[in-house]
Amino acid sequence: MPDEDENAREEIRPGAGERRAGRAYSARFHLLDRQVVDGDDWPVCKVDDLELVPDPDGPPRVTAVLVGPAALAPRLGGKTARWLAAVRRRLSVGEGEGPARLDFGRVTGIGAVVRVELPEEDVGVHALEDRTRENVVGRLPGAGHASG
Amino acid sequence: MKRLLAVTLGILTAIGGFVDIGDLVASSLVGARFGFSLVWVLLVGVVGICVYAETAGRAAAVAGRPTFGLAGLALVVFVVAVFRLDPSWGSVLEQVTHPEVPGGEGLPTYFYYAIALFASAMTPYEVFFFSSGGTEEKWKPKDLLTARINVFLGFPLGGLLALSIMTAAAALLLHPAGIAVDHMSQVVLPVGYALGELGLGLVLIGVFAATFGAALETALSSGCTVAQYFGWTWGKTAAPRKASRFHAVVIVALLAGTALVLTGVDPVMVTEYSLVFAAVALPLTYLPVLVVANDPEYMGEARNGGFANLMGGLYLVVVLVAAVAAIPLMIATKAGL
Repeated sequence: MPDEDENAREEIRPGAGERRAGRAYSARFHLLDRQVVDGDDWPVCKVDDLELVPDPDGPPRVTAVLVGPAALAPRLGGKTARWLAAVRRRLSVGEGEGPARLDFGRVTGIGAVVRVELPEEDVGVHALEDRTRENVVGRLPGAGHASG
Repeated sequence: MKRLLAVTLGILTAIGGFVDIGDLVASSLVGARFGFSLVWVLLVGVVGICVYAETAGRAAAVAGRPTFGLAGLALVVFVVAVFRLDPSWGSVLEQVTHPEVPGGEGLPTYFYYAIALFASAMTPYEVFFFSSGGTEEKWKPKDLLTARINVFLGFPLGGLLALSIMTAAAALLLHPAGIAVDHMSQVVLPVGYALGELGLGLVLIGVFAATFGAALETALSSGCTVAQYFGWTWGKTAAPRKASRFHAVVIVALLAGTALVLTGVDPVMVTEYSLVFAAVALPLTYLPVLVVANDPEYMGEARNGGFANLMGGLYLVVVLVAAVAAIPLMIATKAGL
């Protein structure tokens, strides 16, 4: 969908996704809040925000997908954002932790879902997932058993 | 052969998934109070669930596994009971096609229960389950035929089962006798009457399976809904360690449900109220389904055609009317008193 008037549309550099000729991606429509899945189609997270770096030669470049309440809260604005930020502050250990980031180089496709290639080791986008695993679910018998 | 098995299992699951505790309670309650005069609502609801489950299934295939199990099919004794009671079919047909509000019932009460019955047929978690199952089993567009057969045979057969519960249960025996369904035990009364001990035994197995299955389905469905909304890793096939937030939500939902029951609250009342609130939430489920089904970016070739959109749009109007009317009717009738 080529368009000229909306400044929210960001062009993704070739190689970053399955860019079709003549069609620009809209950050708001194609990326923000989309589901991110890994190479085996497992859901990973949602695109809570994007990291933009100014480029002297053109429009800003998308360099990373930002994940978690720390990324989402500033985007929401208003009471919800303050509440979310407050909850996060109380839950987090260190001061001033930034949001988890997924380098945009890992993105292999943008469609109904955003596809990323993840390394075997933990990429650290799931603070809450890790916490529930360590404190609750991982302690249950059979937690490592996959059915079906 | 493999497809035949998938289809058979799918149909049985759809039947079982259709008749959950909500249908069980709503069908007997409504049959006992209103005889055959609300059968038309059940028919409207069955067509509605077919329209939306097909659309949602198509969306899942392009972009359920049997949890309920086959024990719930023991509820088929209700169908047997209907034939055993041998009603005069002519007069039944007459009452179905010419619905009349029974004497002593107000029109608002009639429509209040109509909404509860409609919501029981259109239960959104059937659609969630159907499409989540499709996503999890990684349906491809070629599985679409299987999915469609499941929907268009399974849900109507499930509707037939609900209809027989309404008929046997209620319209044939309880309604003429002036017995209202206030307890779960009265739901199975007609089968015991018509078929004796064996029938009663079978229907108890069926009710147990339906309620047990519904408890698991609702817990899993809560997990799926929350996880999909937030984009977490989810799925029955994932080891709990791999999808720990999803499993934590499932556990919490199960515990919350158990805690609610342990308060000693009347299950018939809880079911009735939850159906009415489900009716309020129905448009929130079905509008997005319709929007996504029309999105060429998601659906490509399998996008909604004119007929699917006509039916979907028509049902959206019905669902909206039911949603808007539900709470005012609940207040006006003092929850159907």
